[in-house]
Amino acid sequence: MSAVTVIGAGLAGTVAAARLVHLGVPVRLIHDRPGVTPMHGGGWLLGLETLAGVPAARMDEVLAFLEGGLPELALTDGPFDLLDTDGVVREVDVAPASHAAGASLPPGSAAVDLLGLGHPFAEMCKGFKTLAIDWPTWPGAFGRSYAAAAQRLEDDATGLDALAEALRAALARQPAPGLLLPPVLGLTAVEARRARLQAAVGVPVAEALGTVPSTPGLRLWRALADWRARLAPGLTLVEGRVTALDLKSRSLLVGHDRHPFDALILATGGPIPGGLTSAGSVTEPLLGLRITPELACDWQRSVRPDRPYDADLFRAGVAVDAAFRPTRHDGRPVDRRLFAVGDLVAGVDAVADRCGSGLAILSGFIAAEAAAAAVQGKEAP
Amino acid sequence: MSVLSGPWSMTRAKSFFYLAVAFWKRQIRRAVGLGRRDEGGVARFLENYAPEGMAPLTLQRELGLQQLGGCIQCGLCEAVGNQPADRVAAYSRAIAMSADAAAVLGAAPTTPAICPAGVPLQVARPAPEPPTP
Amino acid sequence: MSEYDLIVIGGGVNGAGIARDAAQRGLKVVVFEQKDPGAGTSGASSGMIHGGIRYLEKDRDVTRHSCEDSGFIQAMAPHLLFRIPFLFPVTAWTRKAKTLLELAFVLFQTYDQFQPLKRGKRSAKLTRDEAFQLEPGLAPDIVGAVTTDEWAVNVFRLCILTLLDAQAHGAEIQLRHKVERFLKDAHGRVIGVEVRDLKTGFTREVRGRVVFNATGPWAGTLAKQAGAKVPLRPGKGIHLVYDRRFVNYAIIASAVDGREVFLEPYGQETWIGTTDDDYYGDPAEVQAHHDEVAYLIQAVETVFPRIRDYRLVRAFAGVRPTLARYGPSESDLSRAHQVFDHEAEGVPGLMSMGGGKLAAYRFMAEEATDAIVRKLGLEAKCQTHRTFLPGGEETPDPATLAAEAGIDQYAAARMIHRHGSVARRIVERIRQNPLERRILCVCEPVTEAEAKHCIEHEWVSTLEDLRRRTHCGAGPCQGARCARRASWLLAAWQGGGEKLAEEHLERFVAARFREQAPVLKYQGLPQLELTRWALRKGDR
Repeated sequence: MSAVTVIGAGLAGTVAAARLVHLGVPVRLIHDRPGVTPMHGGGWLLGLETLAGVPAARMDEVLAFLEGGLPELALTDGPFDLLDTDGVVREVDVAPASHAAGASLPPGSAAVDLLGLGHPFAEMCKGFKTLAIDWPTWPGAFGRSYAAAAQRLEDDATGLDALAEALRAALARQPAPGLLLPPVLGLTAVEARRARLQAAVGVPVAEALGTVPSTPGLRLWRALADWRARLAPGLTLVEGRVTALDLKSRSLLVGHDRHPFDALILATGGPIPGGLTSAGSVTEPLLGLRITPELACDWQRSVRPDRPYDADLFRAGVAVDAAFRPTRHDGRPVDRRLFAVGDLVAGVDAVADRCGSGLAILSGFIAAEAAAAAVQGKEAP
Repeated sequence: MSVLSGPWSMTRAKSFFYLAVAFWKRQIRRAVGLGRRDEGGVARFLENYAPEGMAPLTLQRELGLQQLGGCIQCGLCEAVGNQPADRVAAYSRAIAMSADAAAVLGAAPTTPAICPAGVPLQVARPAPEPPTP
Repeated sequence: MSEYDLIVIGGGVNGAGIARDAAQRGLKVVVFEQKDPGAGTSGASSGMIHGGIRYLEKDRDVTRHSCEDSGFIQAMAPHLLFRIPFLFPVTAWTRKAKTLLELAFVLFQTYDQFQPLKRGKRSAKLTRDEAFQLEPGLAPDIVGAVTTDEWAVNVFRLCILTLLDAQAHGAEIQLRHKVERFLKDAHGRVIGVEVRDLKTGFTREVRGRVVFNATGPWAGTLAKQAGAKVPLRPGKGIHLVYDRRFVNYAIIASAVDGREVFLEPYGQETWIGTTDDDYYGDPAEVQAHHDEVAYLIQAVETVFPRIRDYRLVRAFAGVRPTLARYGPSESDLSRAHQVFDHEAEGVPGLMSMGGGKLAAYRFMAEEATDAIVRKLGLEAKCQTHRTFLPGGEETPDPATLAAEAGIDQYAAARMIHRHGSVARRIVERIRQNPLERRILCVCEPVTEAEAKHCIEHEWVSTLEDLRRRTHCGAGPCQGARCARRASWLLAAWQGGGEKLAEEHLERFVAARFREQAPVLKYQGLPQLELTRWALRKGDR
């Protein structure tokens, strides 16, 4: 039996690959570049209600699978109202523990401004006291982002102690019952760092969610890579871009290497990584799959001036059936063993729905099960 | 010819007269072998504009600028690469001309694997000085 | 008894130019602008301060005049202007290609006589190979090219600086004030206007000895309210803006209908302009249409075939206040201007301007102010060509200023381009509060200090105003990295909170999307996805 191939190793592609491995189906995962995964803000708004017909029991199963796959993130069930680094409130269902702690900070807490980095956090967080410190592990790093600072703390083992020291000194001058930091506490083992810092400064500490360039997104990206590493030997990772794809002969090319497949899951993302392209009209470049809703050549007409970002255009994607198989005009699948998941799928607008994670997880999960059934000869007619 | 259309007047006749004189002067100078000198060619053009930073772009440079257009300013390259790489695509907007931008872009890094758009940042490095003829 | 000698309606280049000139001549002036300086026709122009080469075959004195005036504008504000070399490639599509090239060269040579008036460069004629050496992106089927030299200006800054100078000479500048109606005395003389302050909603009456209607495409409808006539045939023009500068020389091309369009390096962007169609809608609502975008791209494609590979960021549209003349197609209508004294039509006290072009703005203002001064029975000579605009006295060295401010050289150079010597005041701010050297807008770039300087001294009341003054949020990402922060800065200065900031952001997003939507299919979608994500609303 040759493998099911998944193209794209973002959230949807990795979930699909992981589920296939768990079902005992060998998987080849083709990975080129990360798409929107590293732009994830940290809060998960699952939004699964947008996908009708998924029973609640299934949902719990999916979530347990996810939390088992990404233990690094220490996902905690909400719902929570959390601030992001722009001081904007985001309502989320699930969040990593270091962010989730923000929901229980005592009133009168201070937002910590790391002077010299490119963005004034405390100034943006209205309703918080301000505690300003120099970023102690990176003197002179003027204009750097929080994500760069987190990378720095990840690389520098003594960084956390220096940060704790600086915070203690600032708290001595200006006490506060709790501290909200921008997301800078490294990229892995974040919750452990947060707990250490909290113990060192003596008051509750939490992190805000991220905006681009996003620290939580980088953490997710790394956590997904770790998950993929744990899936070997069932999973074979191929680095590179798919240059040619033929459904009839069930094979594709990455560079000069030909890879056969029994079933194919497209998790190539939306416009940012190039899963959808916008030259001329919106198209799916690998197979030219059918896009819905169909867009007139005069796109701007579909935009309401009072809701500029809420247009048909943004819900455009590959039309699929209930098993996430791309469909033709008559509603029948293009191929029984071809699936499309995640951002690529029609009808979902991650921005308007405030989070694309729910669809990515669920579609990856469902398509993986359908693909497994197909290659194991158990598919429904 | 369309240039001759429209209303005529003394001022227009005068203007045309000057153009006609210029035309015949040009033809005479061409006939006596001064045509090429008047044309100036690429040498005059470069003499005009190269000192102001507006040197010709190579094809390679133009293609590089086109690829840099894929940058969506997500800033992730800066986070991962430990360099102010997020400014590379932005500052390279003027690289075709500006010496000030080139001063910043001297050390443009190679693209980190994190770039969602796959933008080849290294093409923003200023081209080496073209040899002076 | 009049409060003012002169009420100027409109804060585009014409209104600003007249206000500056009149204020310099000692008149008591007030300017009412319904939106923001340059937000209408001025800011939607190509930004060219050209010398009127097209008049060489109609009236060479106009060319001389234009070149002279281009020189004056350079002297007033050298930091705002930048040079654009032009290539006119001729394709081998007609048998007369070589002749056409020769005729074009003769025209450009004749133009060379006037170039010294505006520090212009001599034209050159290039063989096919030479043309490729200068611009490898040209179409393979060209037979050669000729070149000439023009200047362009940052139009929004030109409007602002002109108004700032008017203010320095005593003029009052009232933005977001809409003229509701004209006040007349018993004899039908216009003695003032009723204006509504659009920020508060209140109206008030203002009296002036002369009311000047410099409202560009609105001039016809406004004059009509007073019973006067400004015969316009408004023409719509759009420009396309690419994400970066990918050519160093402008390239002239012919569209399918024979009109001339151009690909132009404009600062750190590349523009394509322009269309010309009759337009009868509300000038405030004008928007680029996808088939106009296609028309321009097709035209440029004939001489620069790879144009479709570059990313378009936005398309902006404007309405020309072209003077009406029956018959000719839109492009042939003269761009010439005219000052109307409506006394001749029985509406004394009101004057208007119709037509005109950016390059002649100073001269047109001089002519209009001469007429105003005559009308008021005064004698005062124009000084506008001999005085600097604010910041024009001296252009600081970017490297030195960058070192003083602790910012990089490129950021300093862009700031100096906008502010000239006033950049020193911004550096002074940074010296007092070093954190203000943080880069607010990465694309441009703009420092927080500059944004705050503009917010505090240049009548900024929306994020779009800030974009016009600094380019903050005007780059490829259209505000993804800066608009939220900028909305906080602005709201904080205005004494508002989160809600006000959110409103500012929302309006900015709507305005940006209006310009992005028509060009999204030209590689624009990935950026829009990110920008939407970054600027999405909060959940409270």
